[in-house]
Amino acid sequence: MEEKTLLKIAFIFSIVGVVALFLVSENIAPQEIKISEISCADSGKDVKIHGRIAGVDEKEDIVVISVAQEKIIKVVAFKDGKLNLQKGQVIEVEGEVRNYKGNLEIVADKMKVER
Amino acid sequence: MFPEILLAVFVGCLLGVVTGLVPGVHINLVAAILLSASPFLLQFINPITLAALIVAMSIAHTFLDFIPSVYLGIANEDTAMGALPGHKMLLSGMAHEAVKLTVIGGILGLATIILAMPAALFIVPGIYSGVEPMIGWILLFFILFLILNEADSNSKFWSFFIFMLSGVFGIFALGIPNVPNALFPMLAGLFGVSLLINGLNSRIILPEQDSEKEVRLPKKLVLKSSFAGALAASMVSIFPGLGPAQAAALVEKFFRRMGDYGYLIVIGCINTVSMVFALITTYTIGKARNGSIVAVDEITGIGINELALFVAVSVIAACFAAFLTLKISRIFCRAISRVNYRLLCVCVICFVIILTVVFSGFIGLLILSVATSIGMLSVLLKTPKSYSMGCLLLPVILWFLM
Repeated sequence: MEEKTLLKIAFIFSIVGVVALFLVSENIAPQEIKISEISCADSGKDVKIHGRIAGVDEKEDIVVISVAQEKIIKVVAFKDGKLNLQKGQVIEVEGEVRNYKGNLEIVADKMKVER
Repeated sequence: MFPEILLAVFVGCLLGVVTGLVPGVHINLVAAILLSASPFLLQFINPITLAALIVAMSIAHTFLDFIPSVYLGIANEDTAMGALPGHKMLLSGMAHEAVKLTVIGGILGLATIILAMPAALFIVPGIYSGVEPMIGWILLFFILFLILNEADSNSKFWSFFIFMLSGVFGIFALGIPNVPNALFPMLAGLFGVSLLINGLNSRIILPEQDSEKEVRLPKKLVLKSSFAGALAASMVSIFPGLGPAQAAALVEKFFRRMGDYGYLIVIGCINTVSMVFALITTYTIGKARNGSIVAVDEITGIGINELALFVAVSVIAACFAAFLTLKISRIFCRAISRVNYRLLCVCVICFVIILTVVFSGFIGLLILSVATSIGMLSVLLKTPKSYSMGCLLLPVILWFLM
């Protein structure tokens, strides 16, 4: 195949492919799960949880939020100054389940205070 | 304790052979498995022994993973920048010499960083605290500097285009939830499959490989390459989001005229130095810049005694790994001359596709296809491969700046 043709094909595929990935990333959401259902098998998976803030522990670069449903799980988020989190608020968290020193926690990608 | 640690180094090196030779099996994956299994394993061995095993595996990996990169064109984020010069030497019948140059780089790099370690222990915390608030801007400046230093306006434009395209691709691909190991199809496509497809299209005929063919390099070039690699690897190891590919790009810009041979020494040096330097950054600033050292830190922590032990383990593992790498490379050298290269390329591409489906599912296939297209664009537009690392760098820059 001529190099020019291959270049055109690669160019079109790249642009179309990136657009396709954008559409996929916008339309696939993490599965919503109950905190009590999160187990070691979910380690590495992206999940979405809802819960009430039971505690906020601010550290140097991160904030550790205890989110309660039937059980409590810790959510680790990097501080960005945008969210004002307080005990009692209902929060939606999307993030990755991680096993940190034997305890399951969620490293947050997105957080939204619902009320 | 000493015989136990020696045995751990031996087993670790053998694991490093597996992770280095088998595409898609990364030391971070194996280290994570060992960490998860540590409560069970620690009933039989003590934490220091397990940690020594992981360190030995990681060091051995940095030597062995050039073999699939050079002989099969399957590169990863650590070997990506060596893929092209390694591939060129394969096409000249000197694949074994290419691997040997990376081994030389690895050994000399390790020696350099050990000599520099006392100074590094003092300097690293100061540098990190000074640059930490500006990391995003430094990374942005670094990329702009590389782009603006391209030869002509055409090169500048296409380099910027490839950087942004791969950057946007990386943001979308890494942002899709529940696609495990998205990094594998991303990097395999950008740095491996694209090269193989280009090779198929160019109807490359693989010459007979001669493991006895050697290149004679001036000692000055060898030492300069090792020093440059060690320095660049040390600098980028302090920054998140930067790795061996960016260090190699830095060397390419600042230390010109070292040619493909010198560059392979640099790449070999960078890989091994990055691994050892991760021990230093963990000890000094509490930041482990790779997954296997995170696992080590989790198991034992890294104080001064552990640091000294792991450096000793690295030296022993490096010597053993260098020997194994050269032996295995000779085997590959004899084997690859007997195969049909075009068939081999097709088989490797099929193997990567199967691994992608197994590790990352069908969305992983989409990621692989797009990555391959972008990788092919980079090859056909003749832009340096380092800009394709925009897939990792742009997300990191935006994370720090926004």
